[in-house]
Amino acid sequence: MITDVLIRNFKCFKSLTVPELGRITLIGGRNNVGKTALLEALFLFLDRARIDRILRQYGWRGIEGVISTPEAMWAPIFYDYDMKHEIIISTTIDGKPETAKFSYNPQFVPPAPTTTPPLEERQISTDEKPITSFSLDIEYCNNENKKQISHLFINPQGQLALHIDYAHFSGHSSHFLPSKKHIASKQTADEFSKLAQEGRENEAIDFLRIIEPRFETLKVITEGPRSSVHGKLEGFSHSFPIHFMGEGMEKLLNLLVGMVYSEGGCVFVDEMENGIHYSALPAIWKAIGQAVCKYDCQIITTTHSYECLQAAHEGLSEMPEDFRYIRLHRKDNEISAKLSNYDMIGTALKTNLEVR
Amino acid sequence: MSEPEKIDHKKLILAEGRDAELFLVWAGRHFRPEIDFQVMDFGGIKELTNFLKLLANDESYDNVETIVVARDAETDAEAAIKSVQHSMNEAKIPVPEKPFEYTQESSLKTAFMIFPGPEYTSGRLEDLCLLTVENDPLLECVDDYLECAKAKGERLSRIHKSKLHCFLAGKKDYAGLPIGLASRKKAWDFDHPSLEPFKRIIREM
Repeated sequence: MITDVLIRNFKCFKSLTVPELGRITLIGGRNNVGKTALLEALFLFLDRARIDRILRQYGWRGIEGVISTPEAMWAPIFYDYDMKHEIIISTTIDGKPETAKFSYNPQFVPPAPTTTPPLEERQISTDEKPITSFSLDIEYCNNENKKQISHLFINPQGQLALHIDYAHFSGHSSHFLPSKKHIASKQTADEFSKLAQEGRENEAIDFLRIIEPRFETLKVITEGPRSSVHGKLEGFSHSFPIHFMGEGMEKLLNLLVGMVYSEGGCVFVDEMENGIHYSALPAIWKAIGQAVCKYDCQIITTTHSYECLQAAHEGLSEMPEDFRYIRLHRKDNEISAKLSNYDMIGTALKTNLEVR
Repeated sequence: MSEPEKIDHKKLILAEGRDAELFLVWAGRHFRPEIDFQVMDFGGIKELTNFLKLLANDESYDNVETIVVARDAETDAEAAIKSVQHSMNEAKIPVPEKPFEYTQESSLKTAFMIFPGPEYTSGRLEDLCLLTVENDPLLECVDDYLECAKAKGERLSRIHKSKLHCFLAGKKDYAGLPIGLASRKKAWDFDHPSLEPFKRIIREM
């Protein structure tokens, strides 16, 4: 479980310290104060094996494409677009410190191609100079001094490539549920298929019944190259694609499979309340509380909603020690994080004090 | 549900419960007509520590210049004083040594007030309200009525409330009103000497 966090030079954060994250942490604060950026920083920290780890975050923000220049691809993740200062994301995970550093390297020498040239071409010119490229160098280091060093770079074919010097991949899996964009149906279908193969589809059905008690079955249907999860409701003869049943339904399914397949890791949810009727929120939070224990994962979510906070407080009444609320503030361009525990939020709700 | 309350003034009075909040709103307006302060209800006394911590977490907290806490002495004024001091200490805000005295650290000034006043070892806001009308002839009727009720076998365990509501019931403009709303309608004499210590603290905010 991630507990303490230090972020430097990432997006809107010149320097941000977040203490005492809980198993279930809600993040509040005004617009553009960095709530989503905090989730993105933590997800980037855990999302270590994917070549598109940065670009897909842009996709979740609604950016459809970027040109392959360092300014377009990587500058947006640096504080004030300034790539001269490295990004540092330090956390304590399961009581052990780990740090990730991201730095721009305009002099990266890509590794030589691994294909062997024909014998007659094996001649090395003595004045040959290595071709340099630009890369985003990424270094992960833990307290045992184990390092993973990798380079995201543009290869001679103009494609984004990943070169890993030393591999030490994190054992912490994670999922990110963006607020603006639907998770691809195929990804949901793949993960649900896995769950169904394990004979555990009822875990998803029970979870979805919180907001739709008429759910009878869930199954993956493949039509041509596409797979999607379909659900059948009591009283209907046909099943319907889950994404046609509304944002909340799809969100809950993604949340459930995210929790199931983030054992020992974390699920990040941007704007938990979106698509969900307020009356269902306490039951959803109660189910989330049970699920994070059952699947041994952590949930970090943003919210703008007093009702969502109220529902979390109500739904998590049996596990107050696992609840945290972090409010982000900006003052003179510096962002700080203020921590409230379960009892403090109880007082805020009782006295109707603004804490969002 | 009404909109959650924000810090929107630099001078804050934190009151224990809705009645104390409204009493201090109307008494405060009388004492400090510029009305440059905000009265907030911190809930019950068990919530005071959390409430102070929440204020310190607020984005407007850096602008706050003065915090005054007000609560009842209840059965033991000394215990009430220690309880407020403990909460202030837990919330890491300046802790005054005595009630009705300001202390200041850096830019934050704090004080606390205990109802019904500095001279009392026990009591509540209701007692203070009744003190402000101590010369009202209706109080004789109140005393007679409550004696009669006791004689008829009623066990009046919260005599301060019985007395206050009995007094209000006997006034045509205030019958049925809680303390807060009665304060708004000026049921209490805000110029009474028993309110002097409160007046001084609020004027010196």
